[in-house]
Amino acid sequence: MGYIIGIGLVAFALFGGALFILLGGASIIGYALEGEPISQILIDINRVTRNPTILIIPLFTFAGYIIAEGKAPQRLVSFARASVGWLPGGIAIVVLVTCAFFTTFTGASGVTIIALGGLVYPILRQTYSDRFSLGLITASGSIGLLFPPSIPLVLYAIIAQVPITAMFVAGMIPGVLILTILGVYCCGWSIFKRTETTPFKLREFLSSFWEAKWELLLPFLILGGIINFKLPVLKHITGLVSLDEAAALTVIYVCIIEICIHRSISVKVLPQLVKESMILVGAILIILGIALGLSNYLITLEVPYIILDWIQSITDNEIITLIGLNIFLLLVGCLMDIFSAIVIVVPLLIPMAELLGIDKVHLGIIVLTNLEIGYLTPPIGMNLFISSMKFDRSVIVLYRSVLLFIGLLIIALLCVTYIPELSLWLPRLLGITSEPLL
Amino acid sequence: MEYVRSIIIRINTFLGKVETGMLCAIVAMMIALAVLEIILRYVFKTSLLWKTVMLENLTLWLCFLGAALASCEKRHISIDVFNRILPIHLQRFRGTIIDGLSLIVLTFLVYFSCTYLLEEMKSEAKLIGPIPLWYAKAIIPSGFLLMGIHLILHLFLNIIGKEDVDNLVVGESD
Repeated sequence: MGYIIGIGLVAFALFGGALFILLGGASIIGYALEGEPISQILIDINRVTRNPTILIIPLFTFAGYIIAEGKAPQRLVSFARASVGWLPGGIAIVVLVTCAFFTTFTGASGVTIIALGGLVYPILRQTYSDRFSLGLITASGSIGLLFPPSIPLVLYAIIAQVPITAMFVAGMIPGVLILTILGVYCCGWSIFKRTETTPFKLREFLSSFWEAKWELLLPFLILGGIINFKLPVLKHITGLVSLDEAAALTVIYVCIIEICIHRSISVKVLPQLVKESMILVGAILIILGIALGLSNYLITLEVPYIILDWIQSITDNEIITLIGLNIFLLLVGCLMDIFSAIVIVVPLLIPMAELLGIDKVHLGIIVLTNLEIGYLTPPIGMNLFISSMKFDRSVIVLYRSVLLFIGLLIIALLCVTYIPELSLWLPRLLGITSEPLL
Repeated sequence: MEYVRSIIIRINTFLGKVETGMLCAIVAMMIALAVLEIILRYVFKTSLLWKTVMLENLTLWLCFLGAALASCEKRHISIDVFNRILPIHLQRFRGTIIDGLSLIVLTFLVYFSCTYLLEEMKSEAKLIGPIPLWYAKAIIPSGFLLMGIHLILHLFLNIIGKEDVDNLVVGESD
């Protein structure tokens, strides 16, 4: 009986049934078989909104949509071009950095490739081959989700019950590492191919900086608003607002920038942006609500411990276990989008991580880096399809163009997995413990 | 048939507009509440006691209305591996089966959320002042009901064969 239901549910999912319906159906069947009251599911949905961190998802997502709608991509690209365009591979680094900035705010849902792809592709093509350009843009579509205030970081913090500030800070060094590895490769490639560079012009640099100053300030304002940096002077002016207030202020701030200062969007499009962003938020939160109930149920069935026993029966070597974890997560990453993957997989991983002695913050960075690569992994990584639609190329062409970038990202992943200090040093330095703050 | 189709589409769009309007109001309230709280804290050295409960319930409304809107536009998150490779006539058949199964699950969800709401109605808890808390929780059955209505409308369009096949491919919500 259980197998038939299981196969039916998997078939439902693979043929495109909505994920929240799948999870809802699974919970109803599960509770009914156990003889538990089914209205427990509703209590769990209701409990999701009690989590103070969840309140910031809608407003940060809305702010991201406002930024993407305005002319911010153009301003950021011209600033990045003026500042690093003189380096060998400078143009490629421009693309990496701008895409990372964007993904941070739009949460790696393909928005980056759609919003920025058309803008940066012609710039890249002036210097680079078609294959390199496509590969770089597709790969850039998901890097940057380790920087604050990316929604996947927030979701992980909620589910793993770690303070969101710890996740925000922990992602920074690994995020910079990924950017550096890709940047160094682009730089080396350009030196090897002797590509042209644009000379550095101070005037251009300053004027483009001045144009993009409001957007560039944003990440610092958010972090400064919510984290009290225990340093002279800074300790009086940082950490003055709570997370949800910071999210609300971010929306007001980007509205002022885009509507009043740059006048790049009109007030009339705001309802449309509310609609677009809240469809995404509603779709994520309803899955989260139902999945939390289901994962509580799976934990009462001791599913994580059964999996752990199974893994330990194969090997007790920590390095091999971590490699297995990476392979599993890469597979999950190419099957599911990042939000549902976090919601479904993380509750199963947490008890295992606790038993293996992996820090939950470190685990979060490993999970997110994996899912980030999963987006690019053939045959069904989502960014491949988005790029294929956006640039009108066959998916096979994209498979070939991203392979090398996947290799580079895997190097970064191995560093992040086996050097926990990359993720944990900065939170410790700033004195952020892994105890929940709120 | 063309007449039926246009009516169904109109109902769907109308509900979508109502949901969008409510979402805009909720987002505006959330922002206003945060600003008010900051001003009260730093200027008047006081705070709103009901702010947390209010924000929680606004988020609950946002979640359900957003999800209803996702149903309206068929943009719920799904895995969808096989749909892209099915031939067109099978895609329509697949759409009907999947929507039918979804409808069964949603019916159960509406039923159980109604029983949950009836339990909540017995409690004395208040949202603000005299307003009982269960008013806010009423969005749970209503939200599932709205998703069900959107689903039925799409199912009708699918059965009379008037829905564009491209729209049947449930896309990623981005």
